[in-house]
Amino acid sequence: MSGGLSDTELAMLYEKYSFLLIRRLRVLLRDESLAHDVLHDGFLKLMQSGAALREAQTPLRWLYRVFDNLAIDRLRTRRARGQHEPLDQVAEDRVGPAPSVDVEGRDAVVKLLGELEESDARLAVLVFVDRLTQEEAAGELGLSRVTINKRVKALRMRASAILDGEEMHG
Amino acid sequence: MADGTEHPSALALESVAAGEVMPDVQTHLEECDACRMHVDALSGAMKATRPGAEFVAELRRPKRKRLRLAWIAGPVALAAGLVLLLRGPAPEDRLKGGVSFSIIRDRGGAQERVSGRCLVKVGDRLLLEFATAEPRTLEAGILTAKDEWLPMQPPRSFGEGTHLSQSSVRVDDAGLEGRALVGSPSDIAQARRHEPSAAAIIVLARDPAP
Repeated sequence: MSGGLSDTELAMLYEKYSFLLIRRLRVLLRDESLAHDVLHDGFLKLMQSGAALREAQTPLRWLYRVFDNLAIDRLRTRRARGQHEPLDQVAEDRVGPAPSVDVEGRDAVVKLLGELEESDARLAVLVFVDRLTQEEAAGELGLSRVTINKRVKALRMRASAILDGEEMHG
Repeated sequence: MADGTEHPSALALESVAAGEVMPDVQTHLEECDACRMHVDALSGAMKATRPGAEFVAELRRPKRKRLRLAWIAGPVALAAGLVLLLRGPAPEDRLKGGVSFSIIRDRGGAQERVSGRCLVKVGDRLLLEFATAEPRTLEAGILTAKDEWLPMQPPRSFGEGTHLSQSSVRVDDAGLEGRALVGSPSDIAQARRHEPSAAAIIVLARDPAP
């Protein structure tokens, strides 16, 4: 990103997209104060170097990519510091999940985000949070459908292990 | 359609709610109540956002001057660093006639329930405790002397009794002065516009003690 956005542009972006962004960050981070921190940091980034958004054909998707990267970085940092569990509960999602979302599977995969390789973390978000098809995810990441299929299977197995563990402890 | 379902991806529905044109999704929405309701709910919630100029003004403020919101709720209070040590119901007289509240002020682990006027200093954590004599929808937060709104309890329906705000606030080195407010969403909106309001108030002032 080069060049920043004006205050007027930022204010308009905030009014239009902040609800969707904070809702998504709550899902990814499972920590209310961290979600608000990342929202703030993301807008700071746009203020400093978000001019490319003006050319984006799908602004929401572009924004999600920026904020997802920030969120995944934070999860990695938290994991590197040995803080594996979020400190705060998140506010209730007033809207609820989209009909296509498998909430249990999504939440299990999200718990892995901090420990995944960058491309796997991105894939996990595209397939389990956004619910893109594997074909769409392949196009988005520039990988073959076969590779995506293998990686999604591996993610599902790791997520199942988490769910099984929770059942044993729950 | 998302794999394994008859519905578009969550991203597609969110994009449509944000005003992006997706003809295939629009066609689906004409036939699918669940997806249409989801998009409508998203669109409605998106319109309820606070003014962007207010947020941008905060962005322009040096980071160290920002107040950090620390969200806590029920069983995670311990992990969030604020363990509620005070026990016992709120005084009975506070339950008479509408809503009343106090602030739980945590200073280095020592907690005190304060009402009327609350002196605060750097490092304090504040949690709101409010009581209602009948079921009602309530909202709570702090309106700072700089006219900044710090939400601590989004609007929610509460039953009769005493409740704690969903989040706490930690006072950073910029200090904190203003008013803590609890009331109906319309009372809060009026108070934030500095209009006469039925919201319950506790004044927050700087503690001169070292």
